[in-house]
Amino acid sequence: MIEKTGMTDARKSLYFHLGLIGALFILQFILPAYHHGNLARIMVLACYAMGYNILFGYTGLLSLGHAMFFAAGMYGMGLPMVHLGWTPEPALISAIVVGVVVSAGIGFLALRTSGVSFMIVTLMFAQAGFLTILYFGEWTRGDEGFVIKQAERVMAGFDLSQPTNRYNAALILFSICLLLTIRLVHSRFGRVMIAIRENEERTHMLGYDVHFHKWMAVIMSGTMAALAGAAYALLFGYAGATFASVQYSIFPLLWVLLGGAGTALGPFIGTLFMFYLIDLSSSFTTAYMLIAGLALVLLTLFLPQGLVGEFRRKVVPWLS
Amino acid sequence: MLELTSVSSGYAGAQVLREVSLSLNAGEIVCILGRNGAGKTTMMKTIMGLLKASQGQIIFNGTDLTAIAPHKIAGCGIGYIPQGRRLFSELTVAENLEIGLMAGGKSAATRDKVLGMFPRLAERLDQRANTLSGGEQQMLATGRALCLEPQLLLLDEPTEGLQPSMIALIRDTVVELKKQGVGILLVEQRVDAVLSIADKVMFLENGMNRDVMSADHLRDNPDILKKYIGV
Repeated sequence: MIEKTGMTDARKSLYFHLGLIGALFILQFILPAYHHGNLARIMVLACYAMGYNILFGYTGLLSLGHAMFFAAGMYGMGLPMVHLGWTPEPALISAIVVGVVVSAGIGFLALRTSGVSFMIVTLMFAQAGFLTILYFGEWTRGDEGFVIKQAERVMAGFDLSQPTNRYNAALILFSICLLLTIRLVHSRFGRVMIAIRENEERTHMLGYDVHFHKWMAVIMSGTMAALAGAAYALLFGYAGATFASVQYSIFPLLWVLLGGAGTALGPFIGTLFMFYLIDLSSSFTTAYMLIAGLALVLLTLFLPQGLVGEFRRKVVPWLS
Repeated sequence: MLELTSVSSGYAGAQVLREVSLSLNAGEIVCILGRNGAGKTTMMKTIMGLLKASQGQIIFNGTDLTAIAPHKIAGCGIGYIPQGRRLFSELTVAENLEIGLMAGGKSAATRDKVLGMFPRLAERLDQRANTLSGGEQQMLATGRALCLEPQLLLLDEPTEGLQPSMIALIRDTVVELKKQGVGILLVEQRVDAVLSIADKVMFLENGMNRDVMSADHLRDNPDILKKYIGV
């Protein structure tokens, strides 16, 4: 009976998310050019947030250094293309490898701490990464960043600088990350991640190697963030140190909290909401962050589980 | 089955357990009695590796538990139900049991056996653990530990805050497990509940083992209770 119920809920949740992917595909034919471009950017940033959600939302580890992983993918993609003349295919592999190596290394060291110390250690590592990018400005062009030429952004015969191709590439990446997240949540490993979030000591006592599972969660989370960084560099043709700054470590936390930590769709909804909140409010006032901040406070007060979290609690309890 | 020899342990800078020794055999119920702060829970946590023993040996079926990684101790066949149950509150009853089954690599047959012991859980499989009553939560915590099919079960105040019918159910479950050959180490404040099922009683005071005796002897000499725990 357990298996039957679990599968039914999992299938409902899968269909729901597949429906969303279908809706996003159709939207490209409806949206005006401006929002078309925005949505492509939001989908890539949502992948970054989904990576963050694996660690924070499902495993309960709050990192303040995820910009380091995003930047690892971004520079892992951009530097070989610009300096070594690599095509996007091997550069993408390079970005993923860099993402795995950086997250494995940082995770190994940072997980020697926990709680507030883990937050501070990840923040410090990210700041070290940010300063390293600035230090090697001769190659990275520091704050100014560098552009990946339009002619080089061709993958498998598709010109990714062209809006439709870019949108669909972002959608493919988004779909992969979303379905991977759902698969992960319903897997044995995902259950243990949630158990760790709920009660680390108890999980340990049941015989699970909590440290190993947390390390794997950091690697998966960091690699997904790196993949998003690589896609951002490739699709929008730019890599810069701003993406390694502390602000970009805070963003995914906000997006996930807004959308709903521990929900597969929450990171996307949170990113979408925040993106348009800033976009719209900045057209009225230069103090747009004040409006964004106020909206965040209100949401936190009245929807503590985030937009999707509350939706799941009240309407669709089977949502992953 | 379980042999503690001169075990000491505690928290950073504060020794709580002082050279405690105890032996427990298969199918035996040993109860630890003592006042608050005597070191009962510390003893449980030390056996499970949550606290490192600063001295002594803990041997379980020939394996020195102080020499292996804490997360491997459950795999040796020891189930632990801590005080306050410590469920995965956001997970459903089914998912809580599943976590236990996966940890022990057990099959659906084990789950069905557990659900057979606690039919009420079978009716609430899709319910989140934090919405269960106190008694149901204790059933779930016990059921999840039994999903590991342990040879030894450590129970820390399992009847705390439960209504009489639930206490009776937990007691019957413990007796049934004993019949199946499971060794049980029980921390309990309710002396009446303990004396009716325990084989052996150990008194802890200020982290030291003051006395170990048969439950029968304690039943015949109630003054001993007054001496050690003031009841």
